[in-house]
Amino acid sequence: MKPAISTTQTVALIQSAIAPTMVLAIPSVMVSIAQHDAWISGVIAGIVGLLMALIIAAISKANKGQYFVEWLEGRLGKPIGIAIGIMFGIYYFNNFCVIVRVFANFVSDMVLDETPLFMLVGMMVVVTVFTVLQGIEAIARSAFMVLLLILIVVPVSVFILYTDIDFKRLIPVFDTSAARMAVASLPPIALLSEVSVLLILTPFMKKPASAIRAGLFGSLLSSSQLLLVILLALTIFGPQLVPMLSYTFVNVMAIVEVGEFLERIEIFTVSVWFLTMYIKLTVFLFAGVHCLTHSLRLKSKHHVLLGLGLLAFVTSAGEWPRNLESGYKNLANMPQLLLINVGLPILIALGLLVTRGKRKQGGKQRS
Amino acid sequence: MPNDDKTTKQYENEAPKKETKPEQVLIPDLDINIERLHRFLGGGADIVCRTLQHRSFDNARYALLYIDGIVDGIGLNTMLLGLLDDANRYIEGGVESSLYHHLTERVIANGKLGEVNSINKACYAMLEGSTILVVDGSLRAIIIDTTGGKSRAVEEPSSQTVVRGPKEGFTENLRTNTSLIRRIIKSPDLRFDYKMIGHQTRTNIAIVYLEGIAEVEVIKEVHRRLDAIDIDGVLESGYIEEFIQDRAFTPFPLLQNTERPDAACAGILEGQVIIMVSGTPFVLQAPVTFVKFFQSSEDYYQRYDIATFLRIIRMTSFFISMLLPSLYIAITTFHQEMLPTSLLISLAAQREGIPFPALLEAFLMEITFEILREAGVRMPRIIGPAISIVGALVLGQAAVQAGIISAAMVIVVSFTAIASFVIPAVNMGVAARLIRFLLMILAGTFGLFGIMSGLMILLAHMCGLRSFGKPYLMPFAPFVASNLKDVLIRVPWWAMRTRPTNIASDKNITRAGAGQKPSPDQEGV
Amino acid sequence: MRLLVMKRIACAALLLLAALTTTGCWNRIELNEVAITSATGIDWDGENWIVSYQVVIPAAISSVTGGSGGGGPKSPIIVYSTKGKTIRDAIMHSFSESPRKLFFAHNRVVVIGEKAMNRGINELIDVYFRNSGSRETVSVLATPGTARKILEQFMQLQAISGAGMKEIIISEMKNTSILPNIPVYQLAMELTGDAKSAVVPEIFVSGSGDTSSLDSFSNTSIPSKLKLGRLAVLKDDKMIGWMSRKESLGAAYLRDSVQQSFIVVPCEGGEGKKGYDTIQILKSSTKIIPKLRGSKLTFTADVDVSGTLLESNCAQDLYKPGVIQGLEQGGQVQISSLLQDAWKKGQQMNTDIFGAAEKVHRKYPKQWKEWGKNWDEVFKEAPLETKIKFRMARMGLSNKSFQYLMDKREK
Repeated sequence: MKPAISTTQTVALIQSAIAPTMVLAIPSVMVSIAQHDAWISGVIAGIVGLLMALIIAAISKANKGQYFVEWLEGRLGKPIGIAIGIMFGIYYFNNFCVIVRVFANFVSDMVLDETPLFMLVGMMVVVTVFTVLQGIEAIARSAFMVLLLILIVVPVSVFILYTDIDFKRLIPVFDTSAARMAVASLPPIALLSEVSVLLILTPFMKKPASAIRAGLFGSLLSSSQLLLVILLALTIFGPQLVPMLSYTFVNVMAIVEVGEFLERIEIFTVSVWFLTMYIKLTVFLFAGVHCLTHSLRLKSKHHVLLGLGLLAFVTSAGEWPRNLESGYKNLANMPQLLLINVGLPILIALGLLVTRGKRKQGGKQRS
Repeated sequence: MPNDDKTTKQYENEAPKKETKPEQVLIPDLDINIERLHRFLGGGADIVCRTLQHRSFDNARYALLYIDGIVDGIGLNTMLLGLLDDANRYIEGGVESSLYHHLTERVIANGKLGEVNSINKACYAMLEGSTILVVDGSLRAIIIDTTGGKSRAVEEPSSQTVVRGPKEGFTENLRTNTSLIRRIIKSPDLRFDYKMIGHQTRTNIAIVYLEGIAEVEVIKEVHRRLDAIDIDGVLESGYIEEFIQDRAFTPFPLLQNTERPDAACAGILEGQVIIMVSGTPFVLQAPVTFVKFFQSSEDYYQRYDIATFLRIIRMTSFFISMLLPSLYIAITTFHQEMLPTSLLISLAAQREGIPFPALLEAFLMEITFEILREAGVRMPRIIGPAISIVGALVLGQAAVQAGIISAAMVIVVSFTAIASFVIPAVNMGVAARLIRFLLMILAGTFGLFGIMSGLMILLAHMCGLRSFGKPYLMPFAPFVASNLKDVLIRVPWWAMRTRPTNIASDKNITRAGAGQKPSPDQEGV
Repeated sequence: MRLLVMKRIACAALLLLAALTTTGCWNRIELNEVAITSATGIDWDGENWIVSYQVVIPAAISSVTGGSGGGGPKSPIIVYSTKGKTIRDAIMHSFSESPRKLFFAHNRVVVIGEKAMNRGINELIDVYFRNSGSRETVSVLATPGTARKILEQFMQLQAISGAGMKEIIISEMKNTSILPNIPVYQLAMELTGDAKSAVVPEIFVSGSGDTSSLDSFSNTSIPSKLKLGRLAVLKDDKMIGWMSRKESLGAAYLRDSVQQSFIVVPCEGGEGKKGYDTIQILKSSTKIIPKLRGSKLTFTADVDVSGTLLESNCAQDLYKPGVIQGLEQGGQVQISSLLQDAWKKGQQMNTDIFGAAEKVHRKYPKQWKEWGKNWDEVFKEAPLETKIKFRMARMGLSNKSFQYLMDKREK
């Protein structure tokens, strides 16, 4: 039986594939470019994100329940399908390694500065591989549970921070030039393009018809989290201080002081964030393994998974000798993200349009 | 004819799946039959053979054979009295039929008769506690159900006690147990399917469910998995459990067990399938979800408000018993900034001069506690106070005063221990106990990041678990809002109108009629 | 079957990981390996930073607070200093003299000596934001002498004077609001704000001598105490002067940081007797509204205050109409003069610590681009108008002052 995931779970998967890295470093970058109008950039990014989700969902709607690579092969011919499959596979795997490294850097910066990086990376890879081993259904369910947790934690955090919030810090609106706002909205747009993982997830959905809804809600949830972090950071710290804080949402939570007993709760928020990050890693590794096994016609998914896990461990721990470099790499990745997540799907869509007639013929032949 | 299917117990005449002895049939010669039966069973002293001779039927001989001790002595004697009475009677006007038919149709004072034509089957029936009546010249033997003998009376269950609720508990006797269920659910849809597992122990197993409410797939699956078991003996339902659970390696129990007939019946009403094993009061319930282990039967007898409160307490206790030591280690050795200053200072003062790191300290205390607990379970009742004195005074107080263990650690470990006793299902408590150690190691290495990584593994693992095809974390993942009525909160009975679809089939789910919320006319308002 | 093998491999990997991890716990630090710092002092000797630490001795504390520690009284805190080219350099030098690692997460206050304040404190803020160990909610205090001296003082009722200082400033802010509690992050926000000015409350040793020995506590009165004083005014991270307590109360109104406060209003009883009414301010909110009159910028401070009468020694019958109005008017005048004094002082010092720059930026974003370049000049010229709404909410439990009753009997 083909595993089936519900629409809500798909929403959870998509949001956890986008949000964790987005709330981490992006707000501070955005604020440094667009000052106190960064939230407008967030809104712009959100709208663009919705558009991208719409495009991706529309493309994936053309798929009637076949696995991603097989579908492409059926429609565009074997060589193209395999090529695209491998490209996506390598993209997801590569991104997985980068994210593991970014994640490990963050953990290292936050708490475990003396722990060797390879241990952190190893831990992450082991957890992720284990989770992927449980299958897409378990991943989707875990994603949903984590989403539930977020939905509990976020309002509580906002409530605790309420006294520190001063909306006046957002005035005057539209103080920054439109160009700066547009530039500031680029990094989140690049990350929001990761909604393209929907292409791979749709075949697993119980109701593939609701892929559009899943994409839209997932994208919306992610951009609203980004917006929330930007707004919190701006209304609490003001636009001048935020660019100085590399992990904005951590600093936001760090100033909480409720009575004598509730202080420094950022580590708790960060802990919840760890979970979403793990889900993100899992989704990427799953997508990578899925694309590679299907396009390379590999029989054992588990062996591929273990092999890729080891490779990812070596890559993430050894590829970038200094912490700083991988940070740059992450930013330099933006064009690549857009290319793979938006450019490639559009090419696929074009290909589908071109081969539409061909499919009809093929359908006739088959029947 | 007594060999009608309806009167024959289905399971008693079955030969074991792996019959090693050659099949022997009964022959018309009584003495040889008796001799063969004796030989088949090895001729122990507990095999009783009583030969009778009838005054009619040409003084035909017949014999009763049974194994002493596992038969109902009083019932047997009453029956024997009847037989003797009949044997001494001379039937006027001759006999209508053979002695065999005369006995089965007119004489034997027993409700359940069966017949066999093989020595093997007859012997297996004797081993079940039946009495065999062999008639000279007949190719068949009569099986009379005289199962009985000494067994424990129905008592209050010792492991799952309640303040309010029925005090009956299952016993080791399968028949008693099925009767306890029958007495509670008097529905014609209640089904009992019997099986026999174990080549040597030939343990009887009953599968109980409500037809139309339990999911057909699940029933089939239970049958399929039970049929696949191939083992020499089953002494407790735990044997079965390990064979039929959905995943071999998991700390979490995938089947529930209970000693309480009311809890078993509640499960049946929710659509669970009950597996009863002869020889143990613990019956298995399947399928289960994670939350079921936090429901106590008393939740439903008490008012819903307190039941809800208690349920939340239980859930919290589960997490405390799983996480508290690891959180303590993580916070005191990695994230000291999270502690309130005054608490940090007092903890630091307690730790002055403690030679061990917190991780080792916690391990020492946890293992000490596990040893104490095990000692408490194994030791004879009489030396109980000694253990508590040694445990509480020597290991607790003296260790703190000697500066080996900090007082806070003793508090943490004791609280963890107490919390682990709150979980109503012992097997779920065990899961928390085992996971605790793993999380402690992770916490001692990576702090909260380690704990979170451990929890992520747990979450993914639990999300992948199934119990007879049902997702373990239902109704959270996959999320089914309508099934949340009996999870964290227990809604009043009049509001719980449907049975949870995560266990039962989704047809026929109505439990209670609508509009039963008490709303008396409020006069004077 | 394959799944089973996989799972075994995963299990083995986990076990291996566990085995690896138990051997080395890199970041682990036990509670008896940390020196909990309750206060930090920063001084500048002209070339080097001198960082002083007030370290808590947990065993001594718990014996003070009812533990079983025998012997004579032990000092619950110990103070020592290290020197370095940078702040972190100085802290690193502490490793060569402290048996335990300094642990700053529970640091409550950072006291900055006057010399260091004059030099500039950018480094300090950078230290706080760069390192995850130190918390941004630490209260910043300035002191006219050296910070070390402040850390050395014992305090009554609170064994750890670092925590005590924080308690004093918090309670002061809550009840009288003359001096604000300035956490590091707020200081950073103000310094990076449009006006690039900030304030820091002052703490000093009042009285003669000092209370750095536990012997002082064998008497009922201690020779000296830690006390909050004036308000240090910073501009571009350097201190440029002090504001008196009266001015700082005015500044508190202008900064809208008054939670509860009090004012003493002179009053006239019958027969020309002079007296004072004390009014507790229960609620106060201030809006500073910039206005453009022609090309000139003016400010209006819109203050909304409500209070309750705490004490009255004028012969007043509060039932009489006009008495309350009189009180309210007196309050208005008082507050208005407080505001004007503070504003003038600010202009005199050439610093806008009142957040006026932000208000202007928000209201006139276009003109701000011009003014922002030389805000000090613009601010210096801008006059302040005060519009004060003073409302007596309650009179306490008695309606007539005791003095009034006494006067009546005399008649």
